[in-house]
Amino acid sequence: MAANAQPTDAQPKITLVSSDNQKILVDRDIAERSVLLKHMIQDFGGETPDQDIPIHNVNEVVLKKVIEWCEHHRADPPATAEDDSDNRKKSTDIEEWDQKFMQVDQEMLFEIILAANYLDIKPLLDVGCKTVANMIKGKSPDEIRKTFNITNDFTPEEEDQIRRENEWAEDR
Amino acid sequence: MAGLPPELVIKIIGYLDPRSTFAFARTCTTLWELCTPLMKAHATKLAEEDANPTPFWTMLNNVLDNDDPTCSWYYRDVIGPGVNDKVPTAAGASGIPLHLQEKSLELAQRIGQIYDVHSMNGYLPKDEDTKISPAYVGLLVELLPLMETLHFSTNFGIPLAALQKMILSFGLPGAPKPLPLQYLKVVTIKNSFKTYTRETWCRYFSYLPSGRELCEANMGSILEANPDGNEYSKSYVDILCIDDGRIDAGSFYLIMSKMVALRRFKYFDNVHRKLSDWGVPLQAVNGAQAIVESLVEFAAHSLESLDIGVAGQV
Repeated sequence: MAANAQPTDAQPKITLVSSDNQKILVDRDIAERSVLLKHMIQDFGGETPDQDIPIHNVNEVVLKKVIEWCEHHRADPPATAEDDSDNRKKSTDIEEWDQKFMQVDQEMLFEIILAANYLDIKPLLDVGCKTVANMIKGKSPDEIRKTFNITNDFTPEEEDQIRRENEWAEDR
Repeated sequence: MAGLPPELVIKIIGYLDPRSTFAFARTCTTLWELCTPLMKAHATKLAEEDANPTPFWTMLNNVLDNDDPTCSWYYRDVIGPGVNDKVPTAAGASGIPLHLQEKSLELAQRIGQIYDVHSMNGYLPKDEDTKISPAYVGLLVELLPLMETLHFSTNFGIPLAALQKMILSFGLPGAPKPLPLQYLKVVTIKNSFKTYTRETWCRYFSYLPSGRELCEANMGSILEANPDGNEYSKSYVDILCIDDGRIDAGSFYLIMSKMVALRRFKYFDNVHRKLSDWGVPLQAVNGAQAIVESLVEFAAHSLESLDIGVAGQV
């Protein structure tokens, strides 16, 4: 079933097949925001492949969401390795559009992160990870556990010891 | 979160500050193991910064000579405090070396020129080779408009503690003169802050303009609120609902220090939740927040361009 990614007529098209076997037609330049897909296309000799490309690890809903992001950022310059190292400067600023894009339930947020990682879309992966980091910042361990449904498996003795040994970090 | 591979969790941790990394690490053993290398890296980096302090006067001049009013923010926020940064023991009027007295006076004059206040004197760290963090210098410059005279007579650690003690020590017995807050020119820092009594706090907060209005609106008689000859004092503790007026000075210091810390580290939105986590009663939180708001309201008049501003504008 062709989905509604609404490719523009002038662009060569690629058909992606999600893990739940749904076909999604996208413009080639949008698909190439994914380094994984870009390399796959190059493996076809640089020609736009006329056969479907399976995306085994991403279902239709998530894949459409990822494509939505790629469409919005289709004109962005490609990320470089230098960007990757520079971006580790701890800034968690996120563009307004991306912030709204990431206003999804937690399951979807992690699905997007996993999809971005699998498809090798670094800027999307960065936005996803920053979003999660912002959900952690300023919270206590208890609040973080509640937010992400994490089970505390420390013994009280271990917790005390950790707190004592790392007091320096408390007021940072 | 459990579904994420370790490399992605580590990538997320990379965006966290040390404090948040520590909080995240404490949630469970798996995350503790993942966070440990980064925690060690943070500690190592901070220790290296501590081992290579920049002389106080150089940093201070850098801030004062910079036309950008946010320069002090840079010093505080970007470089940050070290692990063991300390402001050295000063320096009463009798103990300060002559050359530093001259520097102090020079500084006081520069402060006066910049902020249009008439500085009488200034006592600053007596040993310029002693470790002092850029963060402290940044904070000091931000606070300069509030001060005419600085008396450093204690060791204190991170800049936050300095701010807290400046605020909390105002109006103490033995201070040069207990002035109304709106005319605050003298800040005395003493090493006896831990022994402040409730009456001390009362006296201090009675000078807040907003507190005065609150008092008049809530008290039947001003005299009723003035049992120790210091008008409004008792009423403030009650009106501000600080634990029904039964809070001890030590607990109140804790609340105030947390409040100020949260504001300055941009966690203000979480302030209620944080203080609840730390076991502070809600009434006390509300009281402390009212006090801090009043302080901020006052500070905003003097620090319009600096970041001791109103909530949301830090």
